[in-house]
Amino acid sequence: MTYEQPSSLAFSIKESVWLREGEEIDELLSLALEPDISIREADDQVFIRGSLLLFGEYKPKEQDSNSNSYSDQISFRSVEEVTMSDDGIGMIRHSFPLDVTIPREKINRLEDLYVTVDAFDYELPGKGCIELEANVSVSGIKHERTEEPEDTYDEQQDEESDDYYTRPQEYNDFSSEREEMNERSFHFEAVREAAADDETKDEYESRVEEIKGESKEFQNYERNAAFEQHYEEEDQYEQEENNEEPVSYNTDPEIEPEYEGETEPEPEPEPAPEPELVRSEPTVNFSPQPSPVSAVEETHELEEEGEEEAGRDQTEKSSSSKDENALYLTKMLTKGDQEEFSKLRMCIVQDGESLETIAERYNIQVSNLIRMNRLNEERVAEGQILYIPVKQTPTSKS
Amino acid sequence: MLSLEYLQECYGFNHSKWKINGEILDTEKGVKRLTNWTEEKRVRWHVQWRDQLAEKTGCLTNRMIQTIHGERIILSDAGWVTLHDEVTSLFSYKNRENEIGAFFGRYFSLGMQDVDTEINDPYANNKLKIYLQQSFLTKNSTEEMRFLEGIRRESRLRYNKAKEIKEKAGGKQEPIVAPIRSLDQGKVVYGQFYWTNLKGRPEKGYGSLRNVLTEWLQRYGQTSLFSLLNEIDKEFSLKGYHGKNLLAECLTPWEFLEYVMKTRDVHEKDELLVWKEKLTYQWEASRLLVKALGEWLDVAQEKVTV
Amino acid sequence: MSTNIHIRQKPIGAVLFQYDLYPEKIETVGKVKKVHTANGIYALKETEMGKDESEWLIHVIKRLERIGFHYVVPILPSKYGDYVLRYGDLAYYLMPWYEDHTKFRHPVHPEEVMVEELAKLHGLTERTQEYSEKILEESYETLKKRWTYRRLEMERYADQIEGNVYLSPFQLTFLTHFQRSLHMVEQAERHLSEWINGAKEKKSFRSVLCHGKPSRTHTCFDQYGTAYFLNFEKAVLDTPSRDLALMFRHFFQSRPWDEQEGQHWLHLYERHFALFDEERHLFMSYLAFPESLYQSVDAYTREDNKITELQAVTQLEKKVLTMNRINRFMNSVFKKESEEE
Repeated sequence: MTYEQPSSLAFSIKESVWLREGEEIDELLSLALEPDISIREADDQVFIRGSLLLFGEYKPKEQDSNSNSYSDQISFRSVEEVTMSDDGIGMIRHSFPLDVTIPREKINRLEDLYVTVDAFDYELPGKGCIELEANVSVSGIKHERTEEPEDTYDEQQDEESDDYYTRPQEYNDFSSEREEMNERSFHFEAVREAAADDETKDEYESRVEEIKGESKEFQNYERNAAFEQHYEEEDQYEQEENNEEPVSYNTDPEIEPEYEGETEPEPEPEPAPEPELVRSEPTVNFSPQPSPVSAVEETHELEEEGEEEAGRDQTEKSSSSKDENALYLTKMLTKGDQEEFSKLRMCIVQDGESLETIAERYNIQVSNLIRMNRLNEERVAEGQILYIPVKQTPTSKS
Repeated sequence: MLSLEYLQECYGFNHSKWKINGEILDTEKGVKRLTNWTEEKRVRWHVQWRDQLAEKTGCLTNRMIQTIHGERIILSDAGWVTLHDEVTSLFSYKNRENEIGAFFGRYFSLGMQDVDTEINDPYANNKLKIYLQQSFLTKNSTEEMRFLEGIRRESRLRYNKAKEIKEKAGGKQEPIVAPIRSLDQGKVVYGQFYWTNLKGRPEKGYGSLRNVLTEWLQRYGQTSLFSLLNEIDKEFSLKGYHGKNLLAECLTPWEFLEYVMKTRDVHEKDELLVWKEKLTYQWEASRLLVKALGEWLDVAQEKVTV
Repeated sequence: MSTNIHIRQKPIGAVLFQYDLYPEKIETVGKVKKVHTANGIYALKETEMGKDESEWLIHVIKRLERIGFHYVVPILPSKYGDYVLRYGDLAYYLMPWYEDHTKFRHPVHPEEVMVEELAKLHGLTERTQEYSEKILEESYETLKKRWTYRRLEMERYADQIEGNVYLSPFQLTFLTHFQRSLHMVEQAERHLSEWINGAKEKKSFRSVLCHGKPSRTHTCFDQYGTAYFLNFEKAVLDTPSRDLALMFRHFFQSRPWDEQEGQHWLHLYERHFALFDEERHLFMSYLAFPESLYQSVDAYTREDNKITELQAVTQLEKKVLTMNRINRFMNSVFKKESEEE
């Protein structure tokens, strides 16, 4: 613990979120991304788990139908059904599961560990889909390389030039790699260094730590002319080179879990990696929900929760509302069944590790790793990021 | 108002007295009703309509009773006046699908297409379209607005489906008929069916048939409705474009428009509730009719293609 | 057209409703319902009639009304102005009830009245038709062909029974008068030729509204001896000769008469509506052809013949008598004419 200064683990999400089949967005009314995270410490590891919750309200477009049989073509819903299920505002609810494991030694103080959404942005490519981009960072991690100053996401960008798009000034966007990114890509940085472990905590007891959740909301500025005006000039942001060196991955479409095939439900994922197997490397489990997001009716409740979430330093409150939230989302998305999602696990290669050791640790074939990561040689370097194919076992067995 | 003496003289009554002043007359030839008209062309159309309907269906209708000089319409200082029988006993349609189906089939194929007076064409005004287009949502929508928006969206869906079906059916000639609001217009006299035509503007399209079928379905159920449709079809081919247009009409969310118009200036919660209930009732009736009609058409289409 | 809808029992109540008649009693008199109401007695006629026929009847009724021919029992319009109410194949029309009188306040000969009124009807409805030789010839040929055929039939029958050893009384009577009947056939054909030649020469022919079934049963007499025709269901536009011949035939069968009476009736008719020469020939040819005599043979030879030999003979003798009278009547008419010439 010498000159180290807090560092952060930052990654970006670019994800397409699909609406209920047949629905299209006419106009987005609001959009918010909120972390819903718990931090737990055990066996020299710190687990950051939970999810990023996406909340949105939109005015749907009316749709048409095509069928040959009149009976199919012409049915419509009763007033009761309309009232019960839908008051005219479409709801976006989507959760991006998050599972980060960081060696305890890399963290100075759990109190300083924050998960923040630094920036996010969206695009409506049409066809009932929202393309979301967000930068999420876990801060409070020890840093070794001083040559790279942290927390300097200076560059601003707004390539979509979306009318509704503006963001509060204090949050900077980070999306220099956008051009290269596929529809879905990770932007992931990890700083790995042997760290002092003078701050090891031995408490096995899990401890929910303070989470600094930042959420951003996009307003429908049509209804907020003043606000719009206020941020007008920010549309002119210039893009700057980020002085960090982000590692970016373009995932292979072949091995990527199917996000757009709404029809096939993904088998249930295996539980979060067992902590004892994970040694000193952060893993990020980033699990986009593959099934289309459903609309829900209880706007008010969620809005309130959103507000609560926004409040800081209220551990009790936020964690309790998180629970409700999680429960609610599960119920909503899968009609009471266990939520199913696939995970994509990543591993940052540590010093002295080889493909063999990694394969062994995750109980997979080396060839699997090679194929998944499209490696040209059977050699990996320290700091390299590998995708780990996930055995998809039902959650219920965990 | 026409005097009793004048009417007696015109129609050759020996005795008469008002049962309802200016409206219902009790005479030795039965109870008669006076109808006032403000438009000559319209009353002439109705004379012709009722005569032709009686002629073509063989059914009794509230035709204009002629004066002793053979006039069907007399003049008053307020316009035109006609005289009719006042028949009040309701007809029981139960198990009469055959006759009544034939009646309505002929009703809608009567073919009085050349109309010299203003007609009622619900599609001619685009009020519905306008209200369907405009979202009721604002950032701070009230519950009522959100309800309305939900209904609007579903209505819009109905409207678009209707439009699509109608376009596919082709823009052929739609019937022009005397408007029908209720099956209660069917009365009985001497054991015979007696149809009471309304005096409204001639109506273009399928709204009246929709009213008939909606009520029939509610009263007698789907099996009976299908028998009725089979009979109507023999006279007024529903398997062709009429059937599709009818379906489109039933899909068209008129009840939504009515609700919007009626509640625009309503702020009383109770009153709003009454309208909401009415909307729900009509909406449900439409839904069930559309469902039934769709099934009937599907079966009918199968029969045609097989 | 509206066969499906009306139904079940006969809709007498609903029919009367359309006349605002509220019956106290309904009697059936022949083909007519006698309807007693507080406001008078009416006759409701029920008849089988198609749409075209009923429309024609309405046309005839309206025409008679328009031309002011009052010797008819009027047909009353319904309260909606309809003259005939149709229910499927059935049609109804309503008339005031006219009591038929046979005893009068003054001496009245119904035949005289009827023939005069028929002449008035014809006179009022007379119309010269556009001349068409084709129509004339067609009518002529049709009638002549028919007569030739009838004559052959009868000759065959005569040949057949002549070969019999034993003749029935009917057959004997027939054979006795057969030659005379053939003479009448020739007379009929001669008059028919006279008619067509005359008409062709004149290049015109005319029509009148024929009642179609003029008879005493289709006539009501009031107590003063005025006659009112009823039942115009078979009315047609045709030559007056036809309607007149039908009335005479009816007269010949209903009571004894002689050629003087016949001449008298014809004279009465022509006082109101004079026939053209060719029409008189046509009239006479209709009467001369012994159709009614031949019909007796048809009836006798039919297998389902129900009448006794005696009845058949009596009937046949009556027809022979009529035929002979017609012959005398015919001769007297044309003798008189030739004297006048």
